[in-house]
Amino acid sequence: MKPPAPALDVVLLEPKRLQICGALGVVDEVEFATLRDLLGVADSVMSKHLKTLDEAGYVSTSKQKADTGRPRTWIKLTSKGRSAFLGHVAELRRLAQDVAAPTS
Amino acid sequence: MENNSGVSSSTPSQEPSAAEARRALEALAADRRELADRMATPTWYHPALAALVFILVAGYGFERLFLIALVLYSAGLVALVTAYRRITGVWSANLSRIGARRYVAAFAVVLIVCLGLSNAARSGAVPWWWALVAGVVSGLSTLWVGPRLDAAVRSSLRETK
Repeated sequence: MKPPAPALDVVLLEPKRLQICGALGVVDEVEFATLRDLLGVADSVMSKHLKTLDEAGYVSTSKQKADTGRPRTWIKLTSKGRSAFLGHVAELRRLAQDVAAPTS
Repeated sequence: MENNSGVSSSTPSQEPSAAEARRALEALAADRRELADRMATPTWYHPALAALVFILVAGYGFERLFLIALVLYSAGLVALVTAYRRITGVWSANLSRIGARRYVAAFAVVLIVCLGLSNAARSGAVPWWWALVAGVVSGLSTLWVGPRLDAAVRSSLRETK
């Protein structure tokens, strides 16, 4: 499959949202609390970012009942989200090389 | 506050500088490393999985027991996966995507050979106890491959660029 062209994505310019997609990009699914702890944010902040990503079509969520009876939310990256993330990271790499390259 | 486009009003609108881009990439790499640490498999997981594989492969060699073995294996596997997900908060079934293909391929070969042996025992081509041997070999292979597969997956996560 052809890799997405390098392009900054406006949704992923927010660092926490980029981090969410980064974590979801390397595994199939991550549970809400695990992702929240990974990012070190409050539940409300996490929910807000997930809502934005969901509205953009970048993530999908599913609820599964836990032993406690309280549902746990699992989040996964959609193909649209994966494509946007890979293109965004490719562009970040291109931009980062500017600082790594020696200046004349 | 969210705007109509669904993008938070706090979203930075400018292109990141080279230093900011590098910091963002470093943060992504740090998250992957932490995620890899969180995927540490509980110590009982592989022995339990090995026991289930033994039940499936050995049970395949006994026509009257196979259905029971299949039910036990399926129920056990669902319980194992559920427990793993609950404990780690992470799930990835697509092992080939994140490395470790060679372990999956090697285990698949062993499993196919052992199921063939068990089938031969079932049909009477070899003595019945060969099904038990096939089950033991499959179980031991699971014990050998499991931790190595985990290590390869975690290593792959840490090294993903």
